[in-house]
Order: sequence, then structure tokens, then C-alpha cells
Amino acid sequence: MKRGDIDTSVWVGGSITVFAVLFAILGFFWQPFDPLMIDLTSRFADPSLAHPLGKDGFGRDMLSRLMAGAWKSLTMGFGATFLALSIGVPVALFAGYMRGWVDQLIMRVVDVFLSIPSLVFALIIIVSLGTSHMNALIALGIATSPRFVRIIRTIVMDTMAHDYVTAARARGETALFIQYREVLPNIWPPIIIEGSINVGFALMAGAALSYLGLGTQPPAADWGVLVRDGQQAINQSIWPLLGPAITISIAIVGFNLLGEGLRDQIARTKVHEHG
Amino acid sequence: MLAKIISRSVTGLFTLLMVSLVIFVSTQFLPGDAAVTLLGDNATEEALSHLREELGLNEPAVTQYLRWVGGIVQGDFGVSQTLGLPIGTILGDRFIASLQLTILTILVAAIVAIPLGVLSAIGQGSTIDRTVLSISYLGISIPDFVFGPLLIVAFALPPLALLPSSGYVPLSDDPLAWLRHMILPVTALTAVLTAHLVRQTRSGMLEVLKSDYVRTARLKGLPERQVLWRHCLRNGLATTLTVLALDLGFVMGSIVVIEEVFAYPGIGRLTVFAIGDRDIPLIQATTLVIAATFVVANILADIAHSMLNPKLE
Amino acid sequence: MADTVLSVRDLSIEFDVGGIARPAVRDLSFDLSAGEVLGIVGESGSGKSTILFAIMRYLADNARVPNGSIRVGTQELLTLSRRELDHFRGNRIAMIFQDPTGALNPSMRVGDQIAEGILRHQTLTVAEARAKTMSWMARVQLETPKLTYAKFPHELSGGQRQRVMIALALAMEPDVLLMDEPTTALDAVVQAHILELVRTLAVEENLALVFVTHDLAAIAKVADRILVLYAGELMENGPANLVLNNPSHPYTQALLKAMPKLDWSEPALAIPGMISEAVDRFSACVFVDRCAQVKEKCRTTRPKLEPRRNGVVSRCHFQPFKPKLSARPPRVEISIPVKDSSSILQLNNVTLEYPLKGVGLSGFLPWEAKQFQAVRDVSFNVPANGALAIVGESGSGKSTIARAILGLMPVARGTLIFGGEDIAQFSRTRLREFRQMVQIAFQHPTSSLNPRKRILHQVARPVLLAGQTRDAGLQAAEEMLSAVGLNASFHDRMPASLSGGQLQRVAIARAFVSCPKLLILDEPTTALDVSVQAGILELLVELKLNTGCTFLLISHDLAVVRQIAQDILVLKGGVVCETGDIDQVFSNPQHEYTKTLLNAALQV
Repeated sequence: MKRGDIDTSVWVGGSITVFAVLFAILGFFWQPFDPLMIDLTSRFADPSLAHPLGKDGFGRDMLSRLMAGAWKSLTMGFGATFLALSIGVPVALFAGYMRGWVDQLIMRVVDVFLSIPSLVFALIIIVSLGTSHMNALIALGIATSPRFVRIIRTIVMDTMAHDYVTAARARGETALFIQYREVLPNIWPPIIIEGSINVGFALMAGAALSYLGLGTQPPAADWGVLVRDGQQAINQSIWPLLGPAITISIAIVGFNLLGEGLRDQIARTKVHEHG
Repeated sequence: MLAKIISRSVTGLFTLLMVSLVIFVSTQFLPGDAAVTLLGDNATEEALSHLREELGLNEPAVTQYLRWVGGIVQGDFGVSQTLGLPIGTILGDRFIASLQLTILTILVAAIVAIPLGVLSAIGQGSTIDRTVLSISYLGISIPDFVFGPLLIVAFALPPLALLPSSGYVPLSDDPLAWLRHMILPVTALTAVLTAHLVRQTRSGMLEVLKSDYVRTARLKGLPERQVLWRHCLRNGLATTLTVLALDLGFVMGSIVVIEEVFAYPGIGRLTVFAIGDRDIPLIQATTLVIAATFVVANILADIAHSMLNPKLE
Repeated sequence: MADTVLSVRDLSIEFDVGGIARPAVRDLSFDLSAGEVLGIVGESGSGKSTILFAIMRYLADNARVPNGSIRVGTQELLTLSRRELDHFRGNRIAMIFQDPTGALNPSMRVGDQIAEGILRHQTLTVAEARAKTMSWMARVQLETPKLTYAKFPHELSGGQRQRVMIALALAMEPDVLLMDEPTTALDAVVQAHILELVRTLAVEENLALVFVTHDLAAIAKVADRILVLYAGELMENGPANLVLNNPSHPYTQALLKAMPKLDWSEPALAIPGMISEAVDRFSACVFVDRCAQVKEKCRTTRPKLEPRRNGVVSRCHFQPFKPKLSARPPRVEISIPVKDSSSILQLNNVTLEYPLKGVGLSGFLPWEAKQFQAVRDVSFNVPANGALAIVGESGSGKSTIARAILGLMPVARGTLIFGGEDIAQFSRTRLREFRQMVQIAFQHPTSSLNPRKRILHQVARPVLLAGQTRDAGLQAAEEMLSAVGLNASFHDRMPASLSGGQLQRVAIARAFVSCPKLLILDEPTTALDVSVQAGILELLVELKLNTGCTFLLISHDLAVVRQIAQDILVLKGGVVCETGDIDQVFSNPQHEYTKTLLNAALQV
């Protein structure tokens, strides 16, 4: 694949993603003001040079809060996806390798989990784990993993149907070798694509949990908490809502553009290869 | 067809039973003592053990589960710990309110998304296609809990102040007020769903347009309009239907959030309330009802799908 | 010719790939009259299908037609508007494809799909169109037209679907019918019937028929004239019997010699090299790299189409030499390794079953699980050092037997004996040894190698698995690769950069590297072009001579089987029909089905 062939959507999405990650890393170490510093004299201050996104109902600097929250929100997106993949990939490989009744049994179980809407499933897990940023991350990771099992298993099955896998079985390769050395290297591209699309979703769902008060707990704030606080203040000022609302939307646009752009591009490269 | 319906219903029932098990296991046996949670740390040991007895917490897990499921089969969801009321009486109205929201959302999304997706696929690469695609990108990327408050700012607050920002009025009380209360939540819910559905319809149609049988139809000399209506739509929509059923799961998740945004008295908001207060019987009941709705909808979609696709029948 | 129906003049087609114009067809001209069947034969990359789609005006978006003309009657097709085209397609020219399964709408009754075309182009009522559909269904020998009318495509067999496609095309009463590999996806017996049907209908309907295929034998059955295409260039065009029996172009000669002969009169000879895809290939002879009779002029000047005797035209600078009987290996050489009287593998009353999937729950309840018997009560011996071929059509269970021998599926009943021991009773160590001794090569070259691993490492893997060192493995792999004709430049390459024939050589090297006692060849040449197939067959015979490995060949192609096998086993529906020495079975078949198969096998 030549460099010049990269889609605009991959470029734009990739740039937004990189920028969001840098923003989060920066925000982890440094913010222009202490995000928790209360100043009741400047409640709901409009944006100014010193405070480009204005201040919230406690006079806290919105940009600083947004930067501190970026880390929380992005770790939610990446962390939950990573967890979901580390559950989903091995299970899918195992099911696809075993086939037959083992595969059927695993897929029945997956079907059961899939028939609980994933946000609701995450809520159920949070009930047993308790509310915190980390628990929301774990809950989302577990709740989205059945979807990964289903998607990746289909890909695994397609790959397993190739003769090189049959050849490996026939010459007596171990189950682990076939799953991780023959099959896995061939299914990385779709896994990465599904993963990057899921980062956007997990970021969104994680923020939603915080919005509901079931994720990150105040005074710490991720973008979901900020949106909730912003909504509660809309009768006084729209700035505390607008900042986080726009930031989170742009970040998710970035992840979606990147993931789907990559998917389209790979699909097109395949078509070219086939003439 | 009848065999298909029966077999699908049996699997659905089995799935639901398993779902109930998942819900029960992950909510019933929590770290910590439910009785302490309810009565507080200062409760006497006597009061605690009395409550444990009353809640059946001392019985074996299997007995607890069987009694819970048995109760639900007879319409008894147990008693809410915080509200002190039988859950069945709370659930009914809330469920109906949420169901209205869901059905409206799906209808609106389908009516908007399917024609747009088809148009976009037919004119692949055209201005219409690119506009639809870009807008749908925004649609799938703006989270519901962000879009909802933004809608409130735009339409419920001055200067426009056209619509109520929260609440619910039953349809039978005042149809106009009912509609006014529905518009914003449904719009917020529809945004993501429509966007996703447009994209799926588009790619499903593109797949069909590329197929060999569409080539056959064109090389028969059929005009493009006839190729589309007779050969593409039916096959393309079969995919859309499957997607719609799966998306429903996403909508049910969104409902929890959107009901919170618009203070809409539905089952989603009840769930959040129950989790906040750790009202375990209520959590179990609401999540089960949500999951059950999803399962039933999937069965219906499955049956409809096999009607569209003779190969599956 | 007075009644020329289809006339193609100086047609060139190119595809824009990443801003570069890649030529597919250059300056093609031919005429076709009513009642005449033109066979266009070519290997992959020849541009044969592209021509048909150009005639239908259905080329891909990135295709250009820089020059040329296509006329049906007096009408130029290349300038028709979309609207005019809709009245032309179907009505004047119709087309039939290789894969009848994809070509029919899965959610529409097949009868309606035929009637739809009739209604489009003829002023008939719906009832009349239905009646006409049924009469056409009868004419293409679909049984019970009334019932078939209401069926969906998935309820029909492959052969029936192709008959529906033929009815669909002909019911619109076109002047020209284009067929793109219409029988390639079908079993031999069905193929023979369809070819016969096509021939009959072409005469009855006075059709101008273009029949495109890679299969010279199929074309010999139907064509009046044959047009030989290579790398987008017309090489030879002339009456069928002349082109087949007395070819005047070196490529046609080579192609005919590359075809395996059913009577084993002469072995198949490979054409060395690969088809050229170079953008500038038309500045010389396109066959220049592979031609046995190449001269200096061929490298510098593009040959013109030269008229030869009896209406043959040939694109060659020279009157080719009379095909001399080249020094080919004497046929007896193949049978030199005398097969032992002992058998290396023995199947005793083996039955193999697949579980049938039910709907919903029923498939998971053990007492409701139904089994499909793919192979029933099969017994045979594979003589040590011998070569046994299992032949049968799709669904005969021949590949299932291979899977069972490899231990990839359970044996429902019966025993498999390898080297005197029951495979089912093997200890772990013995099983590992067994897996070293039994190897397999598959049909699809692209599928049989891992796309993410370097060639050398894939070939070395079986040696490493046997517990040898990495160096020993790599060295063995290098030797084996050079033995199959692939030099060191291939070692570090990825499979995607190799051609089908090269990939198949790698797969064979991987199978041979652990010095197997028994090699299972599952349709080893089916996916390859004829010219490449001959090379693989030569290689297999050579390896067999050098190693003394026993072959178990699985194939549907009797001519290919004849090149390698000493014994044959005919399988139908999972049951053995006939088994014995290949010469005897071919010359004096006992079973009805063997006779049918031999009759259906096409030869030039």
C-alpha cells in the first residue's frame, strides 16, 4: 500500500485521534489551573483569554477540568476495548478452532450475553462491582466482549477454512500453534479495525455511565460528568455544557473516521488484489 | 413457517431463562451484606437477622433463584426495598412509557433512514451520497447524552422555548401534550439510530447492487428502476431488518441515558434510580424486562427476515 | 459472409489501474453469422470474459475502449445510449455466466425471473409469458416445468440452475447469445448434457453463439470456429477442426500438447513461463517469452494476422514448423516403480458421517442429531509405491476419505490400517510418526499457504515439527524448493507475490520435505491453467520416480488421473462402483457409472 493512497478519512481520523491522545497525556501531567480550585467570585464566567472555555458553577476553569477529564475518558475508551479484546480474541480463537459442539455451546452463551443490551449489561456488572472509574471500565470491557467473540469468531472460521490450516492440523501442529501462529497473524487487521471503532463506542458508553453517576465519581470528572454538570447549569450558562459536548463529539468522530476509514481502505485493497 | 415460529420462541424462552440467571447471579450475591446495606451499620443484630430471614437470604442460592423466577412467571416481581411497594405495580406504567419511546424511535429511524440509505447507495459518490454520509458521521459520533442537553438548550430554553425539556404526559390524558413531550427525547434517540441505519442500509444495498443477479437483471435489459424495485430492495432490506433488530439493543441502552436526560419516567430511569439506591429486587426486575423486550424484538425480526428470504424458511 | 450477425472490429479494451492504462484486449476483430458457434478459448489473463462484457456494454467503471466497433446487424453498440441499451440487452444479445447460483435472484421464483425478461421485450400478457416460460423450461429439459416455475434458486441443483439461465436468455429470443464458461462449475456428466443442449438449441434457434472457456475439450464439443486468445491478443482464428487438428500458431500447438490425454497417447507437456501482463507487451509477440520456436523478429515486431489456408488466420511471423515429435519421456517410464504386493494403507468397510444441522434447538439435542453418510462401507488398498486415484463427482465423498485418513474427522464405522496397524489404536508417538509419513497437497494454491509467512519457513515447518533443528529444517526446505524448480530468490517471498503454479510447487515442496511414505493429492491441478497444470503433473511424476512415495490422488478429471495413477477407484454417492488397474478400467469399464463418466469425459 502506497502512502499516497491513504484515505482522507483515515488522515483526518488519525490526526484527531493522535491529538486527543496527546491532549489526554498532557492533561494527565499538567493543566493551566487546578481543575478542583473553587472560586465562587467568578461562577459561570464567560470564556476569556485566561479561561478559553469559561468557568463552571464553582468557578472552576473548564479547560483545566476538560484536560484532566480527557485522561479518564480516553483510558475508559482504550482500557475497556483492550479488556474486551483480551477476552474476545482467545475465546473466539478457541471456539473457531474447536468447532462442533464446543463452538456451539460457547456461541449459545455469547448469544445469551448479547441479548442483554451492552449498556444495561454494564449496569448489572456495576451493581456487583460498585461505582468507580475503574469498575466502569471493567464493566464495559466485559459487557462488550461478547460482541467481539461473535465478530472475531466469524473471521476465525473463515480463516480456519483455508487449506493451510487443514495442512497444519494434518501434520499434527498443536492447538495453540494453530490458533496463535497460523490464524491470529492473518486476522489482525480486522481485529484492529473493530477495536478502533469500539474505542469510540467505549469512550461514549463510559462517559454515559459517568453521566448517570455510575462511573467516575466527583470531584474527579471525566467528560461524562462534565456534560452532566453542564446540563444542570444550562439555565445559568451554556459554556460548561458546550466545551465538553464539542470535545467528546470531535474525539468520537476521530475514532470512527479512523476505524471505518481503515476498514474501507482494506476492503478496497482486497478488491484490487483480486483484479 | 409455524415450525420456525415455534422453534424460535422456544430458543427465545431458553435465552430469557439464561439471561435471568446472569442477572440474578451478578446482582444477588454481592460482596457485603444486603441486610446491612438496607438497615445501615447501626442496626441491631436481631433486626438484621430478622430481615435476612424475611428476604430469604439464608436459603441456598438455587432456592432463592427458583423462587424469584417462579414469582416472575406468576407476575410477582417481588417488593422494592426502597419504595416498599410491589414492583409489578411500579413497573407497568413505566414500561409502557418506555415502550412508546422505543417504538416511536424505531418508526422514525426506519422511515428516515431506509429511503436515505437506498438513495445514497444508488447514487454512490454523488452529492446526495456524500451529504448523507457526512451527516451520518456526525450522527453516530455525537453521544446521546450530549445531543439531548444540546436539544434542550436549542428548543426548550429561551429564546425559542418551544417544547418542554422534561417529563411525560400519558397519551390518553392529552395527545398534544404527549406529542410535545415525546419530540425531544425521540429526536435525541433517533439521531444515532438513524445515522447507523442509513449507513447499514447503504452498504447492504451496495452489496446487492454489486451482486451477480443484479447483473443478470440489468443484462436482461430491465430498466434500472425495475432492477431496483424488483431485484434490489427486497434483498437489501433483509439486511437492514437484521441490523435494526440488533440496533434495538443499542436503543435500549440509550433509553436509560435519554430518560435520565429528559427526566422521563420510564423503565430506564427507574433502573438508574434502583442502582443508585442499591434496590436489588428492583434492579433485577427492570433489567430483566429490558432484556426480555430485546429478546422478543429479535425473535420478531428473525421471523420477518425469514419471510423476506425464502432460503431461510 | 452474407448474414453476419455480430461483427467486432479492432476492439481494444484497457483498465485504468491507479492512473496507468493496463491493456486487456488489443485490436480484436471477428465476425459471427446466424447459426454459427464461435468458441473463444484462453487461459486466465487472456481477456476472454472482458470481451463478452464489452459486447454487453457492461465493463467495469475503470474500463476504456480506446478504439474499435461492435455491431449487431447494422447497429453499432458502442454508441448506444443507456435507454437504447436497455432495449438491446436481452432482446438482441443475451448472456449466460459461469456461476448460475449467484446469477439468479435468491428471493424470486425462477419462473418469474424468466417471465420477467419475456414481458420486458415482447408484447405478451402475463399468462402468455408464463406459458412461454414453461414451454422454454421444457425445452431446456427441466422436468415438471409447472413445479419448477414456482421454485426458488436454492431449491434447484447447479445443473438445473444453469438450465434456468439458458431458458431465461433464450426465451427473450435474442439473435446473439454469449456464454461465459457456462459449464465450468458443473460436474462432468452434467457438463456433457448441457453442452449437447447448447449445441442443439443453437441450431434450432439459428443463434449466433459465442462460447467462452478455458477448456479446449469443451469447446471442441460445441464450436464451429475457434478463436484462440492469449494475453489480450487474437492468436489464431479458424474452423474448429483445423485449429484443433492442425494448429497453425505455436501457442495453439503448445496448448493442445499441454492437455492431458485420456488415452495416454502422449504425456501432457508444460508451457514454461507465465502469461505476460506487461503494459508494453503488444510491441512484440505476446507469446515471445514462452514460445519454443521464437526468433529474433518475434522480440522486436508485433506479428500481423496472416491468412493461412482454409480461412484460418494466425498471428505469427512464421509458418510454424510441423509439430515434430519432440523427445518426450517414454510413457512406460512412469510405471517403472513396481508397486509392491503389500499395501501401505487399507480401508476396511469404512463409513464416514457428518452431523446434519437442524433448525433451532433440535440440532443440539443428541437424540435428534441426524447424521449424513458421506461415505458408506468403503474398502480398498493403497499398494505401497503405487498410485491410486479416487475419482468421482462433487458429493461423491472422495475428499471426505482424505480427511478421514488424515485424522481430521472421526471414522463412524470400519477400520483404517496403516503399515499393518489400526490408525485408531495409534499411541501418541506413533501418531506423530504417522503424521510425518502422510502428507497432503490441496486444490487451491492461494488457500494452501499462510499469507503471512515466508515461503522458506512454511516449507521448513514439517521438518521442525519432527523435532529437527532449525538449521536442518531450513536446509531441507531449500533443497526441496530447488527440487520443485524454485530458486533462492523465492525463499523470503510472501505467498501473495507468487503465481498459482508457483504456489502449488511450494505446497508440493512442503508435502515432500518430510520424506512422506504416502502423499494425498486433493485435486492438485484443478485450479490451474492447462499450460501450468502440465508442469505440475510432470513434477509430480518426477518426484514419484525419485522418492518412491505412494500417491493417493483425488480428482474429478479422468485425463489428469490417467497421467499419474496406476490404480483407480470410482466413487459415487459415497459408495465404491468399481476399482482396478487403470488401463483395464479405462479400456473395459464394468460398472454403468464408470462408463457414463468415461463417455462424459471430453477430449479434443
